Amino acid sequence: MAANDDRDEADVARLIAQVALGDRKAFAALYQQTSRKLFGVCLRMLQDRADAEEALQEIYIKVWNNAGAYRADMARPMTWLIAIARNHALDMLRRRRQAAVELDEAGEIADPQAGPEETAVLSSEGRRIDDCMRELEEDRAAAVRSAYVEGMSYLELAGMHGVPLNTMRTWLRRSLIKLRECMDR
Amino acid sequence: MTTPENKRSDRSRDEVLAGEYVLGVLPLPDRLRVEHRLRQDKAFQAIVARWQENLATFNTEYAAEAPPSWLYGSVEAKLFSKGVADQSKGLIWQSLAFWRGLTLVTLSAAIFFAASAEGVFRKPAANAPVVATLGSGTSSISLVTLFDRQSGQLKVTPVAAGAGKSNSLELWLIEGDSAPVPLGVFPETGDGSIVIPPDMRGRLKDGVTLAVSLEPFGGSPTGKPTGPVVASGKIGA
Repeated sequence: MAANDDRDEADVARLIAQVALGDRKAFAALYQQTSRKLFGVCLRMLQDRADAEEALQEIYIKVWNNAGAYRADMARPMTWLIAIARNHALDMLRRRRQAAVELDEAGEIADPQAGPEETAVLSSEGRRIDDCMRELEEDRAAAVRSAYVEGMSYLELAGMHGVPLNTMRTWLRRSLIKLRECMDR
Repeated sequence: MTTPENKRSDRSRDEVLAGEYVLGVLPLPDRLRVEHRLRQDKAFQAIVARWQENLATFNTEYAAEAPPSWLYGSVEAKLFSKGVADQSKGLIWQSLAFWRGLTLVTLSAAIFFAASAEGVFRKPAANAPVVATLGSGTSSISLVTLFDRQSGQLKVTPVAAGAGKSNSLELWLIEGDSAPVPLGVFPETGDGSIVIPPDMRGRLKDGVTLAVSLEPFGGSPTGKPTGPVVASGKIGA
């Protein structure tokens, strides 16, 4: 499987380029090759099959409309597609509950205590995030992971870990700084 | 006034904000603000892209799962349906004439021949499955083929293709003079096969007729064929 990943990625990148030119057959092939993964993203984040089906349609409409914006030097193709899927699912999740809870949550702009070193924007990573995740305390690493994978909000994470909202916000922001520092090392 | 000191702290604030955005923890108004900025701020785009790459390791946690087969057609209908309905009128009949002359059996032989011709498939990507859509150019029905180089297996799926994708092809079983029984709708993606319901499997035997009809998108709404039969043939004939 892993041995095929690079080839698959190259294939997906080529299809995205063809889709950008309005090639419908390439679009069908791209869907064929990537929809299972993106549907998995929708199901996991939205936890509702009908919502996931609706989301997946909207996601591929975005893919068709935005294929021209894909930049191979900025992201690998699957990363880009999954980002579109996650962002769409996140928007749906946040809209679902916006009125109810997020008034509390609308936070101040991030203002980290520590000043991480200035970094070259596209420097290649010295180490993988996995190693850096291990340097975080266990509960913070878990919070980072479920924020990403499940699309949990600060409020939900705070509830799950039994800490105040502001504490959770500080946890995640400090964790992000640590991760960035670790990967720049 | 911008000092190197300020720059550094702006930079780290941006790093955290981009990280929060990619993690997805920001409330909606903040997400929208970030997205607005992303459209105009190249440096910030790069910071977000970097977090996306970094955190992409977590993407392995998403288990792939096949979406329902109707979904792709629905996407195409939403994207391409405008203005194509008129265009496809009349073409259906041309393709019907083409299809009527074929039984399912001769069909598969014809496709195999067509698929072996050079240039049908795109550039070989080693083990990646190759997808081609075979059509006559004017036909509103085409065949999506999926070729797995490694196993040599070629899956062929007829789809109500062409422009609109507002139709589906449905497979029916006809036993003698009985009413047709639905066996399934051909997926739009070329993802090859219809799984015959377990209780129907014993009924696919010599002498029964298989037929394909053109139906509204997603299959017949009534459980009986509502559109024209575009191909039919007897098993074992």
